[in-house]
Amino acid sequence: MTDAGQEHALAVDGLHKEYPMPGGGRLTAADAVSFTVPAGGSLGIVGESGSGKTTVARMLVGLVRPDAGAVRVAGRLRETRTPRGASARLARAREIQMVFQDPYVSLDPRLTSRQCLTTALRLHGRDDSLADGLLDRVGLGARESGARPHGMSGGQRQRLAIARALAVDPKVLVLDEAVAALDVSIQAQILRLLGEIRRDTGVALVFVSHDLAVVRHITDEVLVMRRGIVVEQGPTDGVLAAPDHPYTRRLLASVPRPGWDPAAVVGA
Amino acid sequence: MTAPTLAPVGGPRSRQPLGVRVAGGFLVLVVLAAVLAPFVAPYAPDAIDLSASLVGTSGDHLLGTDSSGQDLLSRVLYGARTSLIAPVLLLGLAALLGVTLGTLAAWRGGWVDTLVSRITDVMYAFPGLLFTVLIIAVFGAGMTTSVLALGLAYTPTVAKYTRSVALAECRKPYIDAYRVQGMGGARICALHLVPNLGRSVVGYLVVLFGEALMSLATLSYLGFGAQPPSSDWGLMVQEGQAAVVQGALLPALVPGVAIALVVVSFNVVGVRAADRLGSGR
Amino acid sequence: MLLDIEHLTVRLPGTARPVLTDVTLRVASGEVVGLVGESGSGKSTTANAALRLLPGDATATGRITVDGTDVLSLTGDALRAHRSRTVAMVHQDPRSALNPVRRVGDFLTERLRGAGLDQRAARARAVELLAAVGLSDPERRVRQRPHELSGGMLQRVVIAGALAAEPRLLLADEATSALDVTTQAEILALLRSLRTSGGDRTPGMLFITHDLQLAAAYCDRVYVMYAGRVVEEGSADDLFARPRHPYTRGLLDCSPTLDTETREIRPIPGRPPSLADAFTGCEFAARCPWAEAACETWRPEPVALDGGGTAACRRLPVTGAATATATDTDTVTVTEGSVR
Repeated sequence: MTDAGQEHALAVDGLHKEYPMPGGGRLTAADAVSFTVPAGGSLGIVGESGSGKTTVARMLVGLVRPDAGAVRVAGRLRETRTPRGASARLARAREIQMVFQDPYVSLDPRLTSRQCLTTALRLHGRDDSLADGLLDRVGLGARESGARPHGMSGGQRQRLAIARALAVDPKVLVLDEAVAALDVSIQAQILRLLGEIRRDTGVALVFVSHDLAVVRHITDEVLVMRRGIVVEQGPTDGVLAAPDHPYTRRLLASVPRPGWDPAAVVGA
Repeated sequence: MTAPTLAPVGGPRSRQPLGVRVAGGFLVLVVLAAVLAPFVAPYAPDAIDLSASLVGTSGDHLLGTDSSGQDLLSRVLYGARTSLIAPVLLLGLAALLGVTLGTLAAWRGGWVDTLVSRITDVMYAFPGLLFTVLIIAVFGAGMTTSVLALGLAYTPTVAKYTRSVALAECRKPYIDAYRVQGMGGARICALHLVPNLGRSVVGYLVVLFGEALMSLATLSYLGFGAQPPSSDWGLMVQEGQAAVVQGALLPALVPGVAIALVVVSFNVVGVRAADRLGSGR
Repeated sequence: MLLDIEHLTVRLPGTARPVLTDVTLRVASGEVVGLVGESGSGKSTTANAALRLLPGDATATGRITVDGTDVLSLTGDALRAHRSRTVAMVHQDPRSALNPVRRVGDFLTERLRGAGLDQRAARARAVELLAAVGLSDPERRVRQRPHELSGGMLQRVVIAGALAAEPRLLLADEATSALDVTTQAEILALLRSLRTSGGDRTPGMLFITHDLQLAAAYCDRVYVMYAGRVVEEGSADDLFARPRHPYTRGLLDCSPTLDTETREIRPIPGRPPSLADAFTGCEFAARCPWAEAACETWRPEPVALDGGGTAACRRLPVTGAATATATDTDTVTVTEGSVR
């Protein structure tokens, strides 16, 4: 898998991160995480709190520096530390972009939607006029274009956050619990939007979530993490239809459905 | 998932409390007095009339005169100018230095944070007035030195405050988003982090204003700040206290009351403003 | 009937529409009733109303009784007893319910002493309660402070606190939404086990959530709210298998599931209305795929469905003119005035 890195939009090999614990000792946040995502593909990272899924997402975009391991985008190795020079930094930013969980704090409160996008566009030497196309692309209209975050709903803010990530035309889009804070009807709109964007732009998605149903809907491959360890990985349909690992089975059993008995999960 | 308007404890969005409105109204009057002093003051602030020394309130001198026969009302009105502008300048200096240091400490963390925090802690432990008097002892008395010295003395507290709000702001994902976009640290701080701290820092400076005014008045009273013939309020109190022995209270009382009212008003308004600005959005 | 809310309408000054419009909702002893809705649907306000925790300037009309007591007319000691003994509330964030500097045991013994136990008995009961909610090593837990426990453990402590006063009615407001799915299943199993515990005094539960899948899987009956109004009510199985109101159907169609056959999710267009949106007719008309011109002016009325339940949609056939809610209208006592 890893030797064919050239043809993958994203190839991750042996990512490892430890944190020192307050009482001495070390916490392994992520260990030996390896996967690949083809261009236009979609991979889910599933886990509960403390599983290390967010640490992996932050290592991909460079917000956390891995202790070991390599991230390649379209065959090119990413520096683990933030490059000093502006052009190297910007080039790195164009490889992977990110959409955060809570759209209420992931947007600069001072900037209007349009300013938010033009800030990103100018930084990368792109034309301001592209902002209108991006707003249109994510379904934001003229009213939202001049609105600041506090004047918009959660769904509109998340649409803007997606547009901001797309502004630099990245190869890979990492979404960290990007629909978890939204109302159900809005979550569906955002999921549909992400599907369209993936189809139209060929961007590869890494979808980090605790929600198996959402992951099943939007991903082709899935990685199940628990306490920093990948317990199971494979095609989403296969893993969710016939899970190998007991923890995956327990996660699946925890999803409410008709005739569901929570007590059975506790027993499992 | 709950609309914020449905919080279990609520009430009509009332007007500002009476105290805040009175204090605010008074401050507006003081600012107007400072601006319009040449038009509303009955005399020039330094017009000496030895024949009218230490007269009490009268038709000619509404608030009486001092021992040189200078009209106290006129002097207090003109004095509002120095008493208001000087704290603005010194807080401006403290804000410039303090916000820079505080933001730097919060953003860089590590040894930079430790260094800035230690320096501010040491300066914090050192009485501000003593520090100021030391600087004045080296560079000489005067309003400019006082403003510069107090500006430096107020820098640590502004830096400490900025560091704490900047740390909280840095944890918000929109800052991460700028980093993911490839924006450099200096640019994020200058163009996006600091402007978002503006509201809370300004709120804090308003609270500090009364204190700064008081510190400046103290320096002038001690003879380190404004020099005669200035009509600075602190200096006026100092000049007026000799007259107290002669039984004339007004020369010390009038500027003293002016200082007290302005400082209290700024505290009332400042605390309210800090609540509003700090918790805003 | 344990909790009986009849034609409750709550208005706030400065809003374009009532926060709650003509809400009728019942919870029987031993019953787990789901209350489902998106942001601003009024589901939390409904729960707060059962505790008479409405904003100070709110006006409420209608009637709320809990165990036969008229809640809207309660004052003073009776209101305090109602809030501390008769009804217990479990919120989404357990940390906001617990004092971070006090021990977990103090949180429980305080409530138990309020219920009349002496210190020694309260202490012993606190340990019993922590064991009952499934915490391991309860003797040690009572001495721990909130930061030493995980979110799931804290929610168990809060539930133990809610049970301390042996309430008649348990209000769970998104009580499991912040928890991991496996922890959620554990807490839900725990909450359900409570209702099989004690005969006549078996508590009822109003389970408030934004997740229709969860409510349908977990509750006996479910109410679906939209823009302050109950749009559909029915047994969980019926609601899931045969949703009748377009909004309920929309919610089911837009939530992803684990079904093996790939099902396209169909988002509901638009967004949930805020309190600034006013309506001349059906609140859902603007987002409804089946809306007709007449829906814009039709004031929603619950219609009894064949097979039980009600739905408030103009396009549903009126099967019985006199619905369960309609027959009660003439016996309703209306309380007007400011509620606090």
